Amino acid sequence: MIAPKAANAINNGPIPKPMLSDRLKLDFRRYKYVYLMAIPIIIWYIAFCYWPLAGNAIAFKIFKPKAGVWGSPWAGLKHFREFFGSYYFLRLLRNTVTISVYGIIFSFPAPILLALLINEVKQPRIKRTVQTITYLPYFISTIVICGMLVDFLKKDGVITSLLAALGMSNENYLMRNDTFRSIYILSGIWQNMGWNSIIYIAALSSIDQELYEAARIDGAGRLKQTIHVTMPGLMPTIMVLLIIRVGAVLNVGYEKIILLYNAANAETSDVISSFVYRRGILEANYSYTTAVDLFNSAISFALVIVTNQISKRQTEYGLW
Amino acid sequence: MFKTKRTILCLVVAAMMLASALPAMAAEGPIKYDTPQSFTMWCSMDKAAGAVADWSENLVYQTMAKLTNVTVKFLHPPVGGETEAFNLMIASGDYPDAIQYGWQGVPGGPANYINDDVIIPLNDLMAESSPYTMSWLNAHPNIRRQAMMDDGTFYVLPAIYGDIELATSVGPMVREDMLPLIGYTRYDLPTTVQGWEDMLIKVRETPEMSDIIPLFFVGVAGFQESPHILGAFGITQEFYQVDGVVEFGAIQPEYKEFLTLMRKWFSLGLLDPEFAANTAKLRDEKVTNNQVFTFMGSMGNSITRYTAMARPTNPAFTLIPMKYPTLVEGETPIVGNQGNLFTGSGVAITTSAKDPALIAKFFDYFYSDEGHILSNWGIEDQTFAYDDQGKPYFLPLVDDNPEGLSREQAMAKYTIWQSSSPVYKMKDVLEQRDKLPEQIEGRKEWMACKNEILMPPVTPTSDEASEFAGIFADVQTYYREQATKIIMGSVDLDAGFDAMVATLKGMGIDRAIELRQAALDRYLARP
Repeated sequence: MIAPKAANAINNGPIPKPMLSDRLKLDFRRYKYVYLMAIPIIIWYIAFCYWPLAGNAIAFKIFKPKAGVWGSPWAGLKHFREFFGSYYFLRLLRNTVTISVYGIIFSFPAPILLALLINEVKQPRIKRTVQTITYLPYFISTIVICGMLVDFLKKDGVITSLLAALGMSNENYLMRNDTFRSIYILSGIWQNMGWNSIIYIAALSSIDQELYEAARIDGAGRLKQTIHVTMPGLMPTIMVLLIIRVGAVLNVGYEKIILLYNAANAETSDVISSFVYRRGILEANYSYTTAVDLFNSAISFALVIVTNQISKRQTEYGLW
Repeated sequence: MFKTKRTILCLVVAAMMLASALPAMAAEGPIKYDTPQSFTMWCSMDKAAGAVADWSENLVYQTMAKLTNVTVKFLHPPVGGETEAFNLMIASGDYPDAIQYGWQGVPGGPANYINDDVIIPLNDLMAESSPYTMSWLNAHPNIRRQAMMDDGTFYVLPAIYGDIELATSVGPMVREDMLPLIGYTRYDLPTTVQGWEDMLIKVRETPEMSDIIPLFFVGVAGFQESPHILGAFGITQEFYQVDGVVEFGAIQPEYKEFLTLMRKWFSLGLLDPEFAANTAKLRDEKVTNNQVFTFMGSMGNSITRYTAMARPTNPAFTLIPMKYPTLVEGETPIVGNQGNLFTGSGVAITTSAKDPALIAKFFDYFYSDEGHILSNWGIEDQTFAYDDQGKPYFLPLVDDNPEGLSREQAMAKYTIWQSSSPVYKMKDVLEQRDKLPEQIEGRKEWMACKNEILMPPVTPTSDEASEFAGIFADVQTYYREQATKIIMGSVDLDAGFDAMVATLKGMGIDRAIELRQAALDRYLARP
């Protein structure tokens, strides 16, 4: 992009570059209605996305409600030190990372596979039915899903009885440390797979049909077509979603965790966000939990940058 | 010289005593404002949920509006989300005029909220605008002591139990209709821990009861509201005091004995195998589905409500209270469930209140003779009447509500006896609410505990509170998890308990005990 411009400059001699303010003025005059339309959105971003960021200041303060965010006294890195020295620091970090990495390994490819499978179905009615059935669970609220899980996984619950019939032990599966992650991930896949596959199905429909034809002429079977035509066509979508997903690696949603959490599975279920909920909202330690969450966000931010770099280097696709 | 001074002093004291006695003699009836006044109050729905949409439909507050020309504008948090709503409201910095809440247990302690300018100290205000409340508190120094902080500051207009019987509401209960299956009657119910074990084993060995949970409890945390079997070992799970010395239960050798027993009971199938996943909601479900033999329940909620829920499908469903067990036959149980006469709740006035005196005067009426009757019973000939001996009793509007409200709900609509409003609660009302013979008998049995080791309502200073909260949040999460593992047998008993004690020490449990000790020492030194 830069090269042709530079060549232009050499060919036509140096053109005096207009001042930035002049360019802005011209731009404003030319697109004034577009700018006008953008104002509400800019205000929305400032009010709801950027201004609240400043509230993170309480991570370095001792927050007193009446004094407000700015009036509260400073505490330096006290809260961070307290969290890093806490008995639960390693456990929270381990659980958050494990659940999230498992999510990337197992939940992330699931909708891609489903999209590929649906893509292979040639009967439109069956295709539509499968799609509807798989994305239906997405519309059930998390609290209902968790209520169902609690019910199905208890000692005489549906799933437990089924597992018992298959020769596994008949017990409450939410009271075990070693089953919590599987329950969390599998139920997540069941709930979100169909919905998340929609974007891939859309991307699939934009792949040039001639490429398939060409592949067929070259003698590629179904599998070969998928590997050499479909996958490269899907790659940009997959990479963008993967980068976004990695950025959320430490953002394990607290709702599902706190609804499934109990003293017997806490060893593997307690994550940073559920800890923040308990300490922050229930016990009103706002400064401490803001520090914990800020740490969480800092790591997420670093991960997004790193993944983006790797992705750009390896596949030439990136967010920026 | 000295003599004159002393005479003057005597006169002054006499004058002061007279002055303090005067308000009690002041004209009856609340202060009526000429122009309509109002204040806003945040309060939870309590038992009125489902009976009224808003507390302004409550008969007592409606009557008060007529009597005083003061309307209360209620702000109710969502039912079940009170804690979150309270904390978020405090953090928002935007407060109503008054907040009715369990102020004693707020995170950081009430002192913090006064220091942070959320609520105001009430001493001057109450001295001026709450003559009835003050003369009542002065006449009951033991309750007065509970309702204030160490330095004598009052932080709420207090809600108070008129009798310790009202502060005892939870205890062990059993399904009487299941007793014949194991060859028991209500007179064979055990009073010792060994007797309990024998009874629970009988349940387990009875084929017809194979799908019944012998002993249900709501996780290890469930031993917090009432120590139940743990009490027989002479400790509670968290803080208690022996002759003014604070101890922490979960690191005591007695706790290990208790866990050993629970571990044995768990392996014998006497406990709910799913105890760690239990919640209060699951208790409702399992008990009313006839899956539970014995559990910890409350007199009003469990006996009245569960019976009403279960009778339509199982007419034989009968719950009766049991005695707290002891290790040695014939001894008095060491500790049961007992709160304090000061409920810990009441109305605090915020720094945003435009006219604090208005609020203090409004609630002060409930401590006058007339206001006492109004708040406890409602209106004569509408909600209650007097019997031949002059004792009040509820009329059918409350007792057997024609609109189908339960007695508790009807009481929440027509009185404020069950609420956290600044009311002095009469014992007679409880006798009208929970009046089944087994409830009356059960209260006696549950009260028959020594309860000497319970902590009084101490108030930490704001520095203590923040240090304590930092330690204790970790401690509580940890010991409950570890105790759960020990009971379930997923860790070794000896090693697991030693690790628990070591870890709790590492988390600073000794410091937490010191902080509680300091608070207790100050409490004991209160005037």
